[in-house]
Amino acid sequence: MDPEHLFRTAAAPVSRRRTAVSVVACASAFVLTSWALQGGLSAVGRGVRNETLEQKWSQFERQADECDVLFLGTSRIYRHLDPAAFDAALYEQGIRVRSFNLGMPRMSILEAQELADRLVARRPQRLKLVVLEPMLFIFDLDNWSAEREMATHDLRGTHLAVSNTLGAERRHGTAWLDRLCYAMPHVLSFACREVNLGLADPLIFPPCPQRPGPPPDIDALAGYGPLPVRNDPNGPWRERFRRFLALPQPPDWNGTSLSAEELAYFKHLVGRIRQTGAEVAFLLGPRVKRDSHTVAVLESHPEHFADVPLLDYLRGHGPQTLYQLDYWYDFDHLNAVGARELSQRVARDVAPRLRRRIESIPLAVRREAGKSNASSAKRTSMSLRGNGEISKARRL
Amino acid sequence: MLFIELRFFLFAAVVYGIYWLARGNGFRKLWLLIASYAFYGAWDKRFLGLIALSTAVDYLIARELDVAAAPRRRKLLLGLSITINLGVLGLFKYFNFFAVSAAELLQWFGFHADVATLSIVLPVGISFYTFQTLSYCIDVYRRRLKSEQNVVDFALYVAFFPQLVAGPIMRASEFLPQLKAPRSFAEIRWQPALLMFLIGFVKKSCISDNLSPYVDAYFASPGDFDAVSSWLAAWLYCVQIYCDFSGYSDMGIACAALLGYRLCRNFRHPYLASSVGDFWRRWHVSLSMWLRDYVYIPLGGSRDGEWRTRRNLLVTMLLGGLWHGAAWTFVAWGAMHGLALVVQRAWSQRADRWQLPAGPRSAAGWAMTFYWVGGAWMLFRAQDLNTAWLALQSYAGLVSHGSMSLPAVLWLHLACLAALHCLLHRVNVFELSARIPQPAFAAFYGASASACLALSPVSHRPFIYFQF
Repeated sequence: MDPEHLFRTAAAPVSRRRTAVSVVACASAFVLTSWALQGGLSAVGRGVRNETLEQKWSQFERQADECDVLFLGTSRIYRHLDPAAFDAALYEQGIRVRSFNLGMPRMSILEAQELADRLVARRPQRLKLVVLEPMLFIFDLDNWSAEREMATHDLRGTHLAVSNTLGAERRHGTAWLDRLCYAMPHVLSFACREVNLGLADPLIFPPCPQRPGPPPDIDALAGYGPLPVRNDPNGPWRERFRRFLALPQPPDWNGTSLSAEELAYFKHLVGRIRQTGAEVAFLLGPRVKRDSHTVAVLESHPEHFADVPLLDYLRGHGPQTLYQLDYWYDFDHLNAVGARELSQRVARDVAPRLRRRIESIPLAVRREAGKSNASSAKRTSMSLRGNGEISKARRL
Repeated sequence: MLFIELRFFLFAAVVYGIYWLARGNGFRKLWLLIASYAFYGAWDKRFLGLIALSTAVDYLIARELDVAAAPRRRKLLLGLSITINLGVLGLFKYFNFFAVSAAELLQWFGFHADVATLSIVLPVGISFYTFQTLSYCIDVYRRRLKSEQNVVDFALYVAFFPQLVAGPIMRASEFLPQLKAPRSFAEIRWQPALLMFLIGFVKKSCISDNLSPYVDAYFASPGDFDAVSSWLAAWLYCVQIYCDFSGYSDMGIACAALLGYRLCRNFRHPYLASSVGDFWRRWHVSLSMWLRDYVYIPLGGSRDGEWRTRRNLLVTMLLGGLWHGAAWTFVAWGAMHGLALVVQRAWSQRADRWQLPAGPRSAAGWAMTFYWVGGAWMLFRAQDLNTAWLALQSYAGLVSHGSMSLPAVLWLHLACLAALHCLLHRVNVFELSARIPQPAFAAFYGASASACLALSPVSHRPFIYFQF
């Protein structure tokens, strides 16, 4: 069409009243039809799915009733805790447990809540302890239109996420306009979900052909994935790491406490997990640099979470042996060797609690559990070769 | 900021609201200029300095050109404008390409050369606004246009946000007069304009972005695919690039129309062309006209005999290819089109003499043109000449390099899209939309918008032509 046809040469005068009626009629018609179609589409469509979470959960579900210990948190749980090393360390102390790493990179508060709700619904029979990282992601500025974000942002989730974001930013002292900007991605994720963004896409366009190759390692996908040891002596993060370690004093871990919204969230989360019958322990993994959220958790813990044990490996608090360059993959994550070391240490630290817990279970039940453990104990786990490569090994 | 992004809709709500509420034309233009700079700055604030510099230089030179009488001084001023404009374009877009190519050439002759490449970001839309400012200065030099005295008007001509980053390349003689009188709200036919925006949105978001993964998969490793997939990939790319670019143009034209400004048409159903010459009268029309007026005709056009005409055609298309991107694949793409224009010119002279029947000639012309253009797009899309060669081997010789294939259902998608292309050529949907009662149109728009969003992929891809 010629752009000239987008204009008229002479326009008949229209009364204001008629214009107003027309605008109202048009707006109503627009909203009604779009709303009706969106409703219809969401009723017939498969809905958005959080594939990362679903994959993780399906892996867990296959062995849910055999798990005694769960790790829940971000990549600093996913990458830092090796279930095989953890279980082996406890076995050496005469405690026979099976752990599972339910951590996911960039796990958000909404995902953690979703997993807690699923755990309550599923009620794993032998679950005794959930090690929770209270350092979950609140907002993701860049990935708000990702399916992973849309899946969690229903009305309730969005409200929770927005209130937590505003609370966290208020604690931070962020200007109100910036606070709104940080809360906006949640609203956008919600909007994308409500307008069914991309819902009909897979129905019309088939999946793209993939290059033939070995299938992805299911264990790696499921989270048995400590980071490899890299022979990268001059990586740019290393210099930064060295500089922080060279500081004579550890970071100052004092500061403001969590906001009311954050406290309410974590109290709710802990309460939900306890409904499964398991105990909860907070884990603050190794960290060389101060950050305000860690500080806030530390500040709030004695007053608000006195009944939740805190496993604290922050610099200056935890053992110094973890803070050597050979144990790290990047500035925030341990490598496989470091992860094994940390897993063993965590195992030693939770051993008394687990022992007490196991001893409180009647003997007959324990024997029954022992039998089922022996019959299903063949499992795939991670072990490390000398050169740092990850390989699979069978372990009883 | 893309036209299909949510933040653009928020931006547009503010810009259009204030624009139409404001009374004076001066304020409206200033507001549009601020909005256009904000739109451009949303990519990278550093680019604003460059566009401001380009605007200032051409504004001042054109004013000087207008008053200067001595031919030598006028030539000097024009030379200065061309040097600065092409210098900036060359520095940002072509420096690394020429430096690396020169080093490779020297190496080929056995010399070793260390090249210093610049680590610079290519400013979005630089080729488009550089061509606009160049054409303005050349028109003033040729005394076809009076220089613009109002700096806001001129700056708005360069930076007008609906056409800033990917055209159409507007002529100053078409745009500047529109700025002199206030735009009238009552003159706009809202329904066709809104429909044009929706069609552009569908083209970009629902078609182009959804086809992109298949094309990307093929061109990532054409050696893994069978021969049939090469045809499918080439034609899917035909659709992808057309929907991407014409979708952007449609949305740009509609955005400008909703502000009361007319932009020129950039596409006229190019895949219905019956010759390569015809294709260029339908594809990226504003660039074709620019190349004709400022390259082909100054080179001599078709005035100096057959061989000169052929040379001029080839040179023009080579430059057109290079304009698209700093890579040999684009140069080869331009050469392929230039060659086709030369062959077509010779062939049509003979066909006229032999008086071949028009119907079969046109049908055969269409098939050959589409096949040729599809092959040329493979050069355009491939990341390097080796990949392009592999893809073209499959396309032209039906050679299967591998066993992978693109989903066969995509042929059905192609057929449906081709039918739609023909239908839109036959039926003037815009005129039809103007006849629908307003509430019914709003209801249709609401339903279409919902369907579009459901069909849009979750992550958008940038417009292909933004890189040029």
